[in-house]
Amino acid sequence: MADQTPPKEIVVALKGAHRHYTTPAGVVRALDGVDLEIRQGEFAVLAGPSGSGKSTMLNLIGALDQPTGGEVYIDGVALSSQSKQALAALRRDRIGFVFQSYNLIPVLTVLENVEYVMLLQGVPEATRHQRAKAILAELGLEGMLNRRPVELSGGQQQRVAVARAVVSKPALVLADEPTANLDSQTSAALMDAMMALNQTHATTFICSTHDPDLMARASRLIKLRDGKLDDREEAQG
Amino acid sequence: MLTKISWRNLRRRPLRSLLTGMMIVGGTIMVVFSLGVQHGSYGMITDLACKSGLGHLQVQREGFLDKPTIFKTLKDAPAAIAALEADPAVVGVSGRVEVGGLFAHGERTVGGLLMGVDPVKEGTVTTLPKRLVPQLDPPNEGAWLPATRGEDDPLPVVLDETLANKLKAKIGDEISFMSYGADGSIIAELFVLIGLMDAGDGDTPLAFTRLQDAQALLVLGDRLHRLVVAVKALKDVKRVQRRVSLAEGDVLLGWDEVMPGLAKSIESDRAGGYIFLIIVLLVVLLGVANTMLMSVFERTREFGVLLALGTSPRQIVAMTLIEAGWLSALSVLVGAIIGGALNAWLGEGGIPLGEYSMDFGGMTIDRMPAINDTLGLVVIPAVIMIFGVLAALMPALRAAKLDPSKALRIDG
Repeated sequence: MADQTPPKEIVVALKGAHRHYTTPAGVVRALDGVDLEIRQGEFAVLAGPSGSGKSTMLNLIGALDQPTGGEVYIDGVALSSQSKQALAALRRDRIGFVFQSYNLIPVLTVLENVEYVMLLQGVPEATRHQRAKAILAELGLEGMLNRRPVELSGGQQQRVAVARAVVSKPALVLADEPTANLDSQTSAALMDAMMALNQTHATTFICSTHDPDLMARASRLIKLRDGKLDDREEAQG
Repeated sequence: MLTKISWRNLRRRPLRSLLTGMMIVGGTIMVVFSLGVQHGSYGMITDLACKSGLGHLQVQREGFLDKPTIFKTLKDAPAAIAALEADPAVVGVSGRVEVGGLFAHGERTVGGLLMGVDPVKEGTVTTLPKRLVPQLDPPNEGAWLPATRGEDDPLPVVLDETLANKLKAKIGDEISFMSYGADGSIIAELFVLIGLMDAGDGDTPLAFTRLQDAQALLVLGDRLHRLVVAVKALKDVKRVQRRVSLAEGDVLLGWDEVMPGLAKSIESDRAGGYIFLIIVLLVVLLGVANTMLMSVFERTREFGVLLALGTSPRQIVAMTLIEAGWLSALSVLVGAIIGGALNAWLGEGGIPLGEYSMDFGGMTIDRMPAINDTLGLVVIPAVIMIFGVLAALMPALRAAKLDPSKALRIDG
């Protein structure tokens, strides 16, 4: 049998990935046999109407969910062969998440939220502080280190979420509609920040979005429809 | 940071945490206080029982307790006395001899036990010398046994009031006693009744005479049947038992072995007290479990985020248990401090029993003192705390088993 493992520079690979849900109304094919490869340093955007499978694909890539068929590889590692503990470690060490509704930990300050993943990784305190402060300064949040999430605007919270996602230098950042709850000016600022991080740190980004501005700025646009890749997928930038 | 998150989560719903905490505080206060009074009362009753006649400890010849006979004397009484008196916790040691026989006065004869006691040292180990009962008709205060006796003076005897009543004897009357000596000979002797006393609620009628006189009468020489020992505090009983070694054939018995009936009734009563403890533990278990379950339900999405960020299921369990640990530890600490302070405040004075006072071994129990001991103030509160943490185990496992992709879709 031929080796299915993707080459090293491929950060994400989906091979015939299915995610079907059984409901009382019948089987829902949220993702239906998708083959996809994302290379290191790409800024890829998943686009498509609601229910097209964008969030499902992000959940599979982020090791938050398991495919009902096919395989998902991160850095060449097949996720189906990993234990729960190993998947948690993979998420901690290799993947950063930016959620649509920010999902900061409400009882932690801005600085502590950004440090959280590094703490799980066992990064020494001094290094944690220094890296968290540096990324927050890069994102224009240097004056807000000790604020709680509830004291921040939506745009500020989303920038903290981005800082949390990239601070530990993951191979991959997954962002689920990161600009959905933001006004156009804040969205533009956030996109600038993500693009800059993508370019300066060569971090791979995969974002799902309905936002045409974000689609326009992506290096690669991946269109989904009814759980399948749309033939009109196009490379950009 | 897990500890920090847990602590801050506890403060997120201050009213709910406060209510659950108050429930644990209340339960802990009740347990610490009730155990304090219970243990204080047991201590007082036991101490009274020991001082009423049998002492905190006794040295006997092995087998004497079950089958006492005049022939089972101590192997090496002087060595035992020296060892006991050298122990810092021992406050008094007094020797005794005893023999069963017939007491007679006029036409009346009653079986009973004649005990030879040291008139001076007895007062250091029991309250017997202080428990004289005045005779009313004719009025006579009576007297305890004299330390010395002239060669021609009659042999003095102090009778238990019950025995004196059965014999219809009054102070100054002659009482005859018949038994057998350690050499097998029949002995018969005349005593003069010098005092009446309340010797307690025992079944055997008792009579007390001077140790030296009794040893001579029973042909025992300087041999003894028992050494009665008093210690500074009840807790010293086991320590002295561990520390003091005796000649082979002699045994050092604690009060619980000498008075097994008392020990058994205290144990039964103690078991009853633990039912109350179990109820409190159940209340704590349900209270903390309910609080933590609500907390986990409310934070389902947050747990989803933590899992997505790479927090391991084990860390989620730890975080939830630490949160319950904070709640339980602080509440139990406050409860133990208040309960302990209440016990310390009541102290020896205890709760007055008023009209419910009772007589025990010639002494009146008119209060229930409270004490703080390791079991009531440390061990049991620690058990409550552990239960508080264990109560969070089910909610913690539930949080750890969450499917992050589903948890992230939950509102809230």
